[in-house]
Amino acid sequence: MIGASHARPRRLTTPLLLLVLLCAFSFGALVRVAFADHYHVTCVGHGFVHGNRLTDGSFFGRVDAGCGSTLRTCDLYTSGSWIGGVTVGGTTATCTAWSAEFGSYTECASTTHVASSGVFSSHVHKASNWCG
Amino acid sequence: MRLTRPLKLGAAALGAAALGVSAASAVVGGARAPTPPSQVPLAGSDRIEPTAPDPVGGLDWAVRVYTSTSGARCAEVGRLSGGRFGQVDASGAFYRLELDESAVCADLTVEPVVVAVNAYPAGAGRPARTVLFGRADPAVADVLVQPRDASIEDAHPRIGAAAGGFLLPLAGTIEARALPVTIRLDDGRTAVYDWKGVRHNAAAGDS
Repeated sequence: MIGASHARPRRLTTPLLLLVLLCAFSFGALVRVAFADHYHVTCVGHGFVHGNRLTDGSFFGRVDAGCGSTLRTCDLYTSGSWIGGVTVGGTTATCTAWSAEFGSYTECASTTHVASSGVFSSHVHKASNWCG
Repeated sequence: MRLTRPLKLGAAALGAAALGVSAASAVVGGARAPTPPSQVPLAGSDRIEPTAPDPVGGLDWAVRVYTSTSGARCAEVGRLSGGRFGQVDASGAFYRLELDESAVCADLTVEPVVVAVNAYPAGAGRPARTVLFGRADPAVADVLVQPRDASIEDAHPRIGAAAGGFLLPLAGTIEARALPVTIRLDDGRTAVYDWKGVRHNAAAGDS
């Protein structure tokens, strides 16, 4: 006959508490990074740039010059539809596609597709307040 | 009282997560990326030069040039309506564009010309357009665009006398790579911008 088990109350030890806090901290950091990947630096700065406010409909796709690139492209999309784009040649010019040059569009539903020859291939950056 | 410990643990976890968000924010930055000084217009330096007709009779196109606070030479393409610089949206309505950090800017002491291509998709009231434009150093005597599509004629966009802006509006959407540009300097040297790189050629007679 199996005797009755005597479950001991689990104690919140200091190592366990530290582990929980570390996991929570990591989770928070991951969430922030995941939602902030609108602009970053891979040899050169590039990505989705907001205007004065996150909701004023003024936003940019941008690729800075540098790192030997001779061709940079910045295309803008809203709700998955292409709204316009800019291609810049040479080694010193920043590629800048300003949404206002193509019309009036919902900022939070917009993305930019950017590329820089010899530095990084075309990839997508979403608005930091993405709602698409 | 039995809930006290789990509640404390939950509150601590939430606090740690919030701290993680804050710490990561310090690393990855906020919503606003820094504006390169090469893009910021120097007050009073802007002018419109030159203009070109639309390929099928729409509003004229124009280049607005300015000098940035870093000394870079900038060019921005737009439309003209009643002397105002702006754009036409997909519905065909004109709207004014204020001077902003939106131009293509370059250091013309490094390269004698900056070339860019803007592409505008068709909308209900706006046909698709591709506009090649840029800005040239005073040493540039000529700009020649030779489209790879043989149905589009070669063109010598007029270079603005005062600030070196130039533009070539074309119907439809055309890949920049299909629009190679050759520039000729005053001393006879040429350079070909084929969107893969720049190929420099010596002037005839140079060894």
